[in-house]
Amino acid sequence: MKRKLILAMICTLLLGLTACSNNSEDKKSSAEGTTKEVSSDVTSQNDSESDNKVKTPDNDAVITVGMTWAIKAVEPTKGGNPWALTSCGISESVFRQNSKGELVSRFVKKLKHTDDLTWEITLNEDVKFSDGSPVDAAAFATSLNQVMAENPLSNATAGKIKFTPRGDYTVTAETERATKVLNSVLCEWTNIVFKDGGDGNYVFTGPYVIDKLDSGISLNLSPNKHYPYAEKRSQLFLKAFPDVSAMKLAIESEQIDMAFTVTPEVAEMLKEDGVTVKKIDAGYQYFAPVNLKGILADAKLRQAIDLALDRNAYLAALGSGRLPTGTFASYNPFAGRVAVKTDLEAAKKLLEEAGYTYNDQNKLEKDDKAVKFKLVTYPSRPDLSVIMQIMVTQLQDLGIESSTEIVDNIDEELKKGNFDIALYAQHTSPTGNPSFFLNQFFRTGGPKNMMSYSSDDLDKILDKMSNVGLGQEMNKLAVEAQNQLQKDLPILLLDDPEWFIAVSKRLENYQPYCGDYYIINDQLFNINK
Amino acid sequence: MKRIHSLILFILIIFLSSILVFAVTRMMPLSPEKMLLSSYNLPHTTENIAALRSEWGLDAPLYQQYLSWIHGTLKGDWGNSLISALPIREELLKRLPFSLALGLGSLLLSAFLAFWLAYFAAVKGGFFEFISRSLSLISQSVPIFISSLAVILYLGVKLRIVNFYTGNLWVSTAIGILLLATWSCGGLSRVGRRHFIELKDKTYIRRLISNGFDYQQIMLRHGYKPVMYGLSGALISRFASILGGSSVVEFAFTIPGINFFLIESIKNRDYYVIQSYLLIVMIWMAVVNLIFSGIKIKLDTRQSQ
Repeated sequence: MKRKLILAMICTLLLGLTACSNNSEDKKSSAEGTTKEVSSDVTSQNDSESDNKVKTPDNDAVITVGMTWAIKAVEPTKGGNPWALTSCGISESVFRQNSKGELVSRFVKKLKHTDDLTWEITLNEDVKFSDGSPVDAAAFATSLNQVMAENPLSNATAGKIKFTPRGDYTVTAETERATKVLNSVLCEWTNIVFKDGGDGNYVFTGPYVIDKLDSGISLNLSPNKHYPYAEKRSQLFLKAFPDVSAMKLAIESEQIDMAFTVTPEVAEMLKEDGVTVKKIDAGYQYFAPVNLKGILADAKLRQAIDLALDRNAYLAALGSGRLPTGTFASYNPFAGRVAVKTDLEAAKKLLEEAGYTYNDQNKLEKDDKAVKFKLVTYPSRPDLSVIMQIMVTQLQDLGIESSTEIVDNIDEELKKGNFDIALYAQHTSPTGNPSFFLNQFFRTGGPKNMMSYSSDDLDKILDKMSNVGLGQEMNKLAVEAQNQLQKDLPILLLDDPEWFIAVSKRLENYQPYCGDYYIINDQLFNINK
Repeated sequence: MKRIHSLILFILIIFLSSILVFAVTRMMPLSPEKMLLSSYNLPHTTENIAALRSEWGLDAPLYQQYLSWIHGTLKGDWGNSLISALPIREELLKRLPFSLALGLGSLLLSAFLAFWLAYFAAVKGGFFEFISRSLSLISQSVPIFISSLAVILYLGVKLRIVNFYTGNLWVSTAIGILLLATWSCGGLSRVGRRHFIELKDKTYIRRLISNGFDYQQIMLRHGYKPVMYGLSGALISRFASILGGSSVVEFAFTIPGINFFLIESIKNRDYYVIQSYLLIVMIWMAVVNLIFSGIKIKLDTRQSQ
């Protein structure tokens, strides 16, 4: 019996050692491994792209990116696929934002508004699909007409847009609803340029092409040889890490070159371990809509709360972010110029002027009734829960007790009006157009105006905005609107957040921007060798 | 006749389960169209919601949606994911091998290890008793997720002998199996040991010992059936968590199993994926119970006597 036992133990030990040694070989060849197998299981891109392998100096050095999700499918008109394809550098929307928040396009040379519902689009002649065919008027119109027909979300702003080729590189766009900002509409994530080869084969225009897609798990990409700087680009391997601890271990063990994104706590630990951690502009804004049908209908009370909130405490707790200057991220040309300040004494004075008193327990009262707030937020943005806890303490300093609640369906809860202050996150300018967000949230009766805010002054500014295109006039009006909002305080500005990413030495120069909209952007050739 | 009765009962259970699964999924707070609109900062306008519901076939009456789903499922078409539009059957089947390897592999390995550990702990005590107790205690006090991260930290980050995230997936899976098996064999070995100890007082065992047969051999040759019977009872309940129970290991080692897909689908309220997964688990448990009731009849010494 003893002999059998010893034999079993030796077998187990040998099995373990074999596994480890096999794996060391895997480790040595992991970079090549992903490259070798890439073309074996291409799922959806045109077969003609199999010759789209660029001889790059870095073909051996695959860049591996860890993300919290991975592309599931490539059908460009289904669900969130177009957003994911653009975020991973495979497709491009007609217009996109650059790192300064400006709208730029590789496709469009000129955009001319001919009448209320009609636009003339002149296309650049040197843009190609990844199979080498030109993005001419016919291809451009076919692609976008398919998007308009198959993806209902693409009709949300200007209705269904009909694209008609008028020449080799001239297209007419007819919108169902009038718009002055077609460039912003064409920047919406649904509106990507692609070629449908039938049978699930799609060809895109982004800097990378798909070699192998393992739905929701990983993605192998090669440089698109018809995109600028293709010869300088490396192969990419994008892998999903649903757990941030696993992503931390992966970057520590140098198995990935970028972890997108990591939490503030993990970022701190990685910094201590010598890993390069960078901040990126989130584009999302953290703000607090207030219920103007409740106790916070009192303007002086809102002003006092605004003065009592110390935003620096939020930034310190989150380990990143900037003081908010309005409703848009600071990199935008239409970012606000508001200077939030903290002054507890001034806040108390305002309350006294408004008839609020303190009882013997130093609690704020009005008409012998204690002032109490209900704060609400939601779990999918954990930063908001952190801010909420600090806000509770800050309100206590003002003598206000608060109850807190975290709900799944924040929009439904806010619609019911069952809150005093809500903590909310939103990317306020994903298409480089400030009027979309402002209309949604602050126009009288706007679809996301859960504050029940109504201001003739602001509505007039929004009317003016709807009559101008993007540019200086629009930026000026956006700043004006943000000043009006700071005066009326239907929302309290909280944080212009930044996110953390961890990168290897060779990606130290790479900078994603606009949150997770362009994780793999066209600048991913500028890496350390 | 008894078999026909059992078969009818089995079909009835599956049918009722399918209704339950459908109802539970539809009662989840937040609908998929609202989740999608929120995640892309789009307004929840009536037009946007209606357009998505119509595209996904969610605008039909509930009974029609149920009939359409169950009809498709019976024909082998489990529908397409609402979010990715990919066929669910292919997506689930592609991931099933990893989850089954982790769940079933670790369970069978742990049962094998637990049997032998229980045997040695019962007949020899000492070192084996110490190992059995320790494993049982550790598995109850240290969550498997922590131990997984500790293994990755040691082998992957400190020693760098295993490439967990960009290397061979089956190596990560094998280590996951070993880890899960070690974690569950402690508790199972205590169950097995108790059954071995109880055997000592059985009349037929005492008689064989008094006749001069070797105690250790008697326990193994004549005692394995009741012990395996006892272990089977403990194993049945663990079969329920074969697919879901390994989720933390899948997450820590980034093994692309079924849970990887499911969690994302729950987040997006992808009704058809959740329904299919739950139905698979229910059918799985019904089949496991059927198989184990057969095995237990074979192992039941009272019936064979």
